[in-house]
Amino acid sequence: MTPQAQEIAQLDRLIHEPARLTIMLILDGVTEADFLYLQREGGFTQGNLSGHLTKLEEAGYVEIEKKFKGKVPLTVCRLTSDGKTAYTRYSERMRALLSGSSKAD
Amino acid sequence: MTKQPSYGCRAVRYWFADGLPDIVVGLPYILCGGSFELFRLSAYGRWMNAHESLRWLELALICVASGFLMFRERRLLDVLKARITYPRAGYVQPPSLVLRFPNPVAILKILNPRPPRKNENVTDFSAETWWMFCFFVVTSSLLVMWMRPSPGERWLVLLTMPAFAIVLNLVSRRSEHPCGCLSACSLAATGPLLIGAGVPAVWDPFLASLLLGAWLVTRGVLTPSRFLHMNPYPRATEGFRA
Repeated sequence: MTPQAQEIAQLDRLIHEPARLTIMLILDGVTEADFLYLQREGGFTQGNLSGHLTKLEEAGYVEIEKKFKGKVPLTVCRLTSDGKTAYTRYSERMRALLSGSSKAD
Repeated sequence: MTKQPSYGCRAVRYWFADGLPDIVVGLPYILCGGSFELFRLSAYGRWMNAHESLRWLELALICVASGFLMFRERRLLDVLKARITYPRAGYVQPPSLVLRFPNPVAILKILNPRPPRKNENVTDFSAETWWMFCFFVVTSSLLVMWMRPSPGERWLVLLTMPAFAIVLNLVSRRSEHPCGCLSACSLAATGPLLIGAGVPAVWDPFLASLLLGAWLVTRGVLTPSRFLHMNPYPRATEGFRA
């Protein structure tokens, strides 16, 4: 097994899935966002987003809080410190892998 | 392939998408400028000798308005957005406001507008804008305080609006809330109103403040009408929360 293949095998599969990567990407750029905003930005259906958020929450990457802004109920999501660390590690690893392969070309 | 804005950048743009920030910033300036203009029109003859004290009063009012904008704008906007924006298009909180005091870097940025930073996890455009407004109003006030009204010096004050429009356009060109050419031109065009209105030089800052506020509110009011039309309330089936 080449070191590169080893690196790829070590990628965080939970984040690597496109929909969850989109969620992590959005949440990394903001302090917090609600369900409706995530749905619109990522182009998700409700069930799809709900399922992926649950998986990220179970992994401890995303924190979900139900709160009120005025009288409007919101389901607010934000990255936890574990989530931020995992996302940073994932993006650094991907960047290193891709830059390595482009140099070889 | 054109570079897409990051999600952080989009979140900052979303903050301005409903036009409410422009309206909230514009109203205090309208109140400041408008109250003095009304006062001038109603008591023109009697109070014209009280220039000195009026100038200080004006400066104090502008400082209070700017302070209000600096420290309360975000909270006030949050209340308004909770009623208008969030139920329609969702809620996102851009990161904390970073207050930046004018420094040489800010001056360099005017000469060389930078692209959005790589780390876009900070929204500072609103802070930059408020500083620009404070700079504009305080500079024009000081200008009037130090000079004695004369036809030559008055031109300096009349140039305030076009100069401000150019600076705002240059600074915000590549930011998340750009002031477009058309918008800047309309602001610059309000300069000649100072001549046309036949206002004594000492009152110019009040009128400038009124015009600036009116420009901001107009810009803001046009935006929400579009925003509300494009973002109706989600249908009942979409109201489900995770």
